[in-house]
Order: sequence, then C-alpha cells, then structure tokens
Amino acid sequence: MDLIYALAVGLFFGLGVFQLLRRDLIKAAMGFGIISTGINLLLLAVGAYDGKTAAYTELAQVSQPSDPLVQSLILTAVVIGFGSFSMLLSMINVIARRYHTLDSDKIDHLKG
Amino acid sequence: MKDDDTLMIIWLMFFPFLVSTGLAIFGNRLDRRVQTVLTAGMMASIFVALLLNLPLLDADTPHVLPVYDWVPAVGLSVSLYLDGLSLLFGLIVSGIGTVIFIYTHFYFEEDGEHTRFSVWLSAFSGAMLWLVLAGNLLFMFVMWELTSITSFMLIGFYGKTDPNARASATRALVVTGGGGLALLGGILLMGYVNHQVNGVVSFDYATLLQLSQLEANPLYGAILLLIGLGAMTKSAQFPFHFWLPNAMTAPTPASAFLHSATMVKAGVYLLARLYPLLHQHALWEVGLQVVGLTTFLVSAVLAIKQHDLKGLLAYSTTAWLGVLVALLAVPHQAGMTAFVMGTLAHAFYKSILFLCVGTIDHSCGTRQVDELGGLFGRMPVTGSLTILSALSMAGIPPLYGFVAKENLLHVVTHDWNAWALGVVFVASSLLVMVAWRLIWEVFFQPAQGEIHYHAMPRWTMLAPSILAIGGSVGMVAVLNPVTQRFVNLLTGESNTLYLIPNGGFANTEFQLSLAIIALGTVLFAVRRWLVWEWSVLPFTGAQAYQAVIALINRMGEGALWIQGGKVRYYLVVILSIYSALLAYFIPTTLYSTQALMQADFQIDFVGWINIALLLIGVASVWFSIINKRHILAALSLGLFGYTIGGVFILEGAPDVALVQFLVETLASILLIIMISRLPHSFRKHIGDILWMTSRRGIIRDAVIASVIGVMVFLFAFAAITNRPDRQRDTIANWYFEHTEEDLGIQDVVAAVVTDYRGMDTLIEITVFAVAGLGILSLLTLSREQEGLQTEITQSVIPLSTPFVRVVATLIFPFTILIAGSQLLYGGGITGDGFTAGVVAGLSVALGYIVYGYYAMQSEFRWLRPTRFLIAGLSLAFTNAALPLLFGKNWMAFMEIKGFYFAGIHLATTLLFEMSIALTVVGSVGVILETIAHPSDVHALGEDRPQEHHIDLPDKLIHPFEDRL
Repeated sequence: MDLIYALAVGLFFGLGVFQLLRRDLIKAAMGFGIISTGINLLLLAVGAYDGKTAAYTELAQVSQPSDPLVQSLILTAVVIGFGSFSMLLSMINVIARRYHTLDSDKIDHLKG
Repeated sequence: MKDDDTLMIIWLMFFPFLVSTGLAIFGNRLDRRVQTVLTAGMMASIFVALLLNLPLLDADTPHVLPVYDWVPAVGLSVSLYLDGLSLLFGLIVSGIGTVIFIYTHFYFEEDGEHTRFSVWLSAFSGAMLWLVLAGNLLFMFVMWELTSITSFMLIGFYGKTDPNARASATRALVVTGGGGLALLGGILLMGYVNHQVNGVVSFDYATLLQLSQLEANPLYGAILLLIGLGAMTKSAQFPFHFWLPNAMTAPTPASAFLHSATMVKAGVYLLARLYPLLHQHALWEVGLQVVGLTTFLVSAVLAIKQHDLKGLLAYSTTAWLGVLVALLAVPHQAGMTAFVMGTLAHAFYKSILFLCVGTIDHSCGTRQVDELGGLFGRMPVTGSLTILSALSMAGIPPLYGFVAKENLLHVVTHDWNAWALGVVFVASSLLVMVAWRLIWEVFFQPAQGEIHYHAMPRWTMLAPSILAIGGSVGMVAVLNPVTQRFVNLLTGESNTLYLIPNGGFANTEFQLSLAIIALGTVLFAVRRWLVWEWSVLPFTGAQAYQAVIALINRMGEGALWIQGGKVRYYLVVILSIYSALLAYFIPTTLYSTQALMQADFQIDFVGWINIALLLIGVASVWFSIINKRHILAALSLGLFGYTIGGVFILEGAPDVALVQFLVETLASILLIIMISRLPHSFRKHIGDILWMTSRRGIIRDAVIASVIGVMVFLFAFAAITNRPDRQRDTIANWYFEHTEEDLGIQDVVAAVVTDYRGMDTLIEITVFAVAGLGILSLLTLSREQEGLQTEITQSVIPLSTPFVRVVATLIFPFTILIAGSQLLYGGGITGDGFTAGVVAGLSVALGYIVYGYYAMQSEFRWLRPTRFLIAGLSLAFTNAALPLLFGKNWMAFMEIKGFYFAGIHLATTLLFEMSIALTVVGSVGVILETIAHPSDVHALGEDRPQEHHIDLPDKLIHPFEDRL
C-alpha cells in the first residue's frame, strides 16, 4: 500500500498543479483544493502504523488502531484548508467584479 | 529583604500591561482623573517598590527573581535581575514615568486622545521596565522590540491626519527594528558561544555574564558588531541618528519619556549591561569612542542649526547619547562613574526641558524659535524651570549637569587623546550655545510677531516641577550618596563624586569647564555671523535612508521585470525551485535502503477497495480538469473529496472521514453558490477559451505538472517508507497509554485535539474565525466601494418548492440534535465539536438555499453568526485561562470528578468542544451570509434570465402557508 499512496499523492499533486495553472481562476481555486486534499492523504499515509480500526483506547487492545497524531493534524489541516479555500473564493469574486473577467492573464496589475 | 516585597515587585511589573489593556477596553468610560490615578499610581508604586529593593545592592551578587520558565528549550525565561545598573534604569523609567503620566493628564484637550495615548504609553512603560529589569537576554530582546512597536504607535500618534507623522513612525520602526534584527543575531551568537563553553542553553545574565575570555573567541567581532548595531540604532548613534529628530512628531509627553529619558537609552543600557563581557578588547574601546564622539560632534553642530525647539532638544539628546556611548569605551571605573552621572543628569534636565517645550508649544501654538520671544513675563514657572534645566544642560555649577560634565572632563583629560579632547571641547561649547539660545530667544528676546497665547491649566507645570525638585535639589541631598553606591557597585571600586572641585581653580577639569562655558557664550554672541544654512554632511541621514528605500523599491521593480504579469507562472517559479531542491536532496538523504526493504507492498482486500476509491478520485479530478462547465467540475471535485473521505474510513480514521465529508459538502455548496454569483458571460467566456490556448502552452503546463507530481511522489514515497518505527516508542503509543487515565475518554483523536494538542486547536479556530471575518470584510468593502445598491431583489432558487421547504423544516431539528450529540459525546463516539459546528452550519446553509436571504434575515433575527463567533472564541479563551485561577497551567485539564450525567463528563474539554462548535457555526454562518448576500446577484446578474423580482416577505413563508 505504501507505493500506492505515494503514487496517489503524486498524481493528485500533479493534477492539482496542472489545474492551478489554468487561466480560469475558478479552476485554479479547484486546483488549490485538490492539492490540499492530496497533502491530507499524505499526512495520513505517514502515520506511525496502518490502522485497522479507529483510534479508541478500547479497540487498541484487540486490533491495530490508526495513528491518532496524524489524524488530529489532518483535522486541523482540513479546517484551515476550508477557511483558506473560502477566502480564495471570495477573493476571486472580488477580482472578477473589479476586472470583469475570470481570466487570470487579463489581470496584470502585478506586471512589472 | 522579605520575600513579600520581591513578590510584590513581580506583580507590579505586570501592571502596566494590564492597565494598558484595561484602558483600551474600558478607557472611554473612565473619567480622565481615574485614568491618571491608575497610570501614574502604578508607575509611582513601581518606583517605590524599586526603592525598597535598594538594600539589595549591599549584597555582593545581583539578586535574581525567577518568574516563569517560558521556553526552557531555547533558554528563554522571565526573571527579574536586580543590580545597580537595572535599578538605576528602573528608577529612571518608573520615576520619570510617574511624572510624565501626571503631565499627560493636562496635556491633551480631547478625552479620547488622552485615553489612546495612555494605552500606548502604559504598554511602553511595561515593556521598558521589563527591558531594563529582565534577567534574560532573550526576554530583554522581546521587550526591546515591544518598545520599538509602542514607539512606532506613539510617533505616528497623529498619523491619521499627518502624513509626516506616518513617515517618521515608519522610519523609526525600520531603523530600530532593523537594528533589532542585528541585535537578535548578536544575542543568538552569544548564546551559541555560551553553549559551546558552558554546555547549557541559557540566556540568563546569571550564566551569560560568567562567560570569560569572550574577546578571545573568534565570534567576538561578529557579536560586537551585531549588538553594537542594535544599540546604535536604538540610541540614535551616527549614522543612524536621523530617526530621532523625526520622531518629534510624537506628542510631547512621549518625546520626553521615550525619545529622551528612556527608550533611546535602551541602547546604552544594553552596552553597559554587556560591558563586563565585551569591554576587554581594543575593538570595543576604539569603536565605541569613535561612534560616540562622532555622534556628539555631528549632533551638536546640527543642534545649533535647529529652529524647531523640539528638534533642537532632539539633537542635543543624540549628542549626549553619543557621550554616554563614548564613556562606556573607557576600560575602567572613571568611565562608568561618568556614565552613571551623565545618564541621571540627562534624564532629569532633558525631560523637564521637553515638558516645558510642550507647554510652550501648547500655549503659543508654535515651537519655532523665530516666532517665539519674551515669554518669561507670561510663563514665569515654565520659564524658571526651562532656565534651570538649560543651565544644567550647559553645565553651570552647582547643577547636576555640571557634575556630569566634570566627570566627563575627568575621563577626557586622563584617558583620551587630544583629538577626543578637541571634539568634547567644541561640541560641549556648542551645547552651551544651544542652552543660551533656548533661554534668550524664547523668554527674553522681544517677539518678532504676534503670539496667540492661551494659558494651559495651572497644574500643568506640576509635573516638571516635581522633576526639578526631585532632580536638582534631591541630587545634592539624597541622590549623590545613592549614585555613589551605584557607581561603586557597578565598578567594584569606591569613588568620590564632588559638586565643588577639590582644588578649586587649580583643577584642570574645572578650568576646562569654565573655558567651555566661555566659548559657548562667545559663540552665542556671534551667532548672527554664523551662517545657518550650511550643511554639515554632504547628505543627511534622512536622505541616506530615502536612498536605501529607493534602492529597495528599484530592486522590487527589477523583480517585477522578471514577472511577466501572468500570475499563474509565478507559481511555476516557486514550485520549480522546490522541485529542484527535492531532486537534489531526495536521492542523497531521504532514501535509505533499510527503510525501503521494510516498505509494505502487500495489498489485502481492504487495500483493493482503497485502490478502487483512489481510482475514482483520480477520475473525478481528471473530469474536473477537462470539463468546461464549472458546476459540473465543482461537483466532480466534491466526489473526489468524498472518495478521500472513504479512504479515511478504511484507514481507521472515522473522525477525520466525518470532517472530510462535512467540509467537502460545505466547500462544494460554497463553490456552487460562488459560481452562480458570477455572471454567466464571464464563465462562458473563460470556458470557451479553456482549451484554446496554444497546444504548446498546454504541453508545457503538463510537463511542469508532471515534473512536480513525480517529485512529490518521490518525496511522499520517501516519507512513507521512513515512517517512525512501529515497534519503538511513538507518540501515538504514548497517547494510547495515557488518554483514558488522563482525560477519561475513549477517543484518542478527540483527546489529542482537545487536550494534548489543544493549543493547535485554539489557534485553528481563531484562524478559522479570522478567515470568516476576512471574507466578511473583503466582500462587504468591495460592495461598498462599487457603491452597489442593495435593492430588494432576490433570485428565487428553483429548488425552493413547498416540498423542499417541508423537508428542510423537518431536517432542521434533527441536524441540531445530531450536532448536540456529537458535541456532548465526542469523547466516546465519532464526531466532535468541530463536526457539530459544521453540521449546524450546514443547516444554516440549507436555510439560505431554501428560504432565501431576506427570510433568513428577518425571521432568524437572533441568528447573528458574528455573535456565535464572538461567544465561541471568548469561551475558548476563557476556558483555556480558567485553570490559571486554580493554580494550574494554561489549558490544563480539569473535571468535576464523579459527575456523569447521561454519559456526559463535565470537564474543560467539553467546554472546549462547545466553544469550537460555536466558533465554527459562527464562522460558517458569517461566510454563508456574506456570500449569499443578494446584492451580488443583483449587481452581476445582468444576464441571468431566470431572475425574478419578488416582494420581500414580511415574515418567513411557512412551508404550509402557501398551500392554503
């Protein structure tokens, strides 16, 4: 499974970056979402052991539980990811209204 | 010395911060007199407390009071270090601070300004007191930076209306902050050396000052340079002197306190503090002497050119700071004696002068020397005090300034060469001339024009009078023996200070002193022949600063030149650099063959399901990429999120899976609402050109994405195969062993989130709340800027059929029930405060979709998301602070033992879960309410065919009503 997870993370990341590079701002935001989900998956995969059951103290006696540390890190990451995703969306909303386009190549106020 | 007294000091030292916070919150409701009693009272009590500690000086070693071991791992601790030097500066800060707060009472005309000023000045006082009394170099640095920040706020006090004040504040912050960075570097190097030599990580003076032979260390030069830079910028030494005169845009009490008596002395304090460590090297001697004397001369010359009274005082301040720095260069006790005397004398006379100038400025509406004159008749008290202090500045016997100057001259004649003597002689004469100008041109010379005089309250001059009495008279009677003891303790030898020289006129210092006064008087007499409008230096320090800033701007433009305006390719640069770094490091360091051998390549039944899920995930991501239509892409993205949630379930992470499902749902809703808010034409246009970029462009993007993907794969594989050894002690195992015993709950993830890593969660919900508020302000501001009318129109979403409304009304209580159960039983079942918040948030979202914005707003008046948010955050922080009341640590676990009601366990973790839920539902509500605001629809919906205009319902349309 180790190899599968690594492959999946790499694939999600590559696809996410490709999506991020689109001219379409909404697609770029989606790319951001894909990448952060991929990172969460990676966090899960690097846990100290593969879980067979949930990380409950009772279950830990009978079977192999999952690593609670990475889970709590993912919980935090998911929440923060959602916060930044919504921030991103509202920024796109403002940008679209100000420049009257969703095409990032048309938004060139940062151009030197 | 009883322990109670020392404990009292520790408490008092936190007072300024408390008062500052208190005034910031309640200040506008407090009478000005109450505020002054608070602020001046706290400073006075600290002053008294420090005085009570003077007997400590009789001990041979400094008295250290540990307060709190902040970050032991890096050697950062909070403690008080009481010795002669820190007490001297502590007494100056608290003593002058008391007087400044009394003066402030009368200074401001507006109550609001007075409060705002007191808030910042209290915060500064706290920081400054800790700076000089702290027993840890790293903690001192924290306070050092805090003084820079509060100084920034005070210099820019009138920044709202005065662009000059803003520029000056920024300049001061850039200079002192930049110096602060250098200082940090020096401090860290010193800690490094300390670690090498003593083998301990500590920045406590108690251990640090025991370092011997630092001058022999190869790092000595770097340490001295970095710390010297910090001190030079803070104490406005040449060539960084220019920020101080500009800082005079601050209200005068702040100038008197920060920019004359205390903060600018932080640099010399630091040098004096580290004197035992650093001074035994030629670099120190020569460096400090050259810097100090250059500052003295340049500032004295610049001072006589000033027409602004405060500018004049500012330059004479930098001049004297130069003297203090130069005096620290002297390798034996005479220099230290002169240093202490100089510090004290200057603190007294200069703050009186500043306060008097403030009064003059206020009464006459100007502080330009040319516009003033003949004021003595009108302001006899101010006049007398100014004259007294100016005479002290000129070094006229038997005033304090004279004693200081005698000590300086003693050093000059005994230890320094002819050059130094010349510089001191000329610069001192110039300061004498400045003093004469101040006295004559302001008070006695007839005024050039009309002065619009209005008197300030009579008690205004109370403050400088106290200082004058305390300083000039008290010096002779009390302070002298005390300062002698300071000096003796600082230098380890006994000295005698004198007011009238032993040998009378046979004394070289006394003769020099008289000659200086004579030269100054001559210069004053011929001042009309001295041309004012010449420049000392080819360029001013301010110009140099501007040039540096311009250079940085030009470098920024250079960077912009690289960036071609296609924002998305900036990302390519960043990611490519990371990929290159990874490509370099991964093969060499991250892959160990042993770990690779242990890698798990077996795939069981669950594994195949996993692979299937991941394949669906990849497919849905692919679909979201190739699809032109945003809504479909958003939906397939949601599917991707769900498949990952499925993987989480299979991996035994139900808590995470639940959050993943909920958040993915919420994110999809948000994305779809947002997409539907954007005009159809925008979306159509961008969809049309999605694949119309050149084929080469797409191939290039694909190559970039593939390279990055491969790099991430390699990194991920290395990370996964190098996981912590399962058999050994992992943190996870520790959690499993302790959770039940520590917190009495089963769910280890919940335990980690609410307790073991509770601080993470606290920060996380704060960030989440900030994100919600950020979206609120972003969209609201943009709406206001565009001046959109919020006409009452509403697009009715076709979804809102009566049937849907019935379902929604039925679902609503259930969601609340689910949220409640997750909240209460989070310790035993899947789900926690966060999921509870999101579930409740989802029902709010449902409400917005089904009922529409206005109905939600009018019917659910109580449902103001910001209130939930504030309540949640306040509860979280109160709950975190609660254990402190019981003598436990911040966020410690507390419970009511033996209380189990319906399986609910009353503990701080439960309160924490509640606050998380409240914050999350508040933040989600804020985001939804902002994004669902109908004005967007109206503004952008010019080409939306389905838009209906409907009447605003008075109240919520109940699901059954429109059937009737």
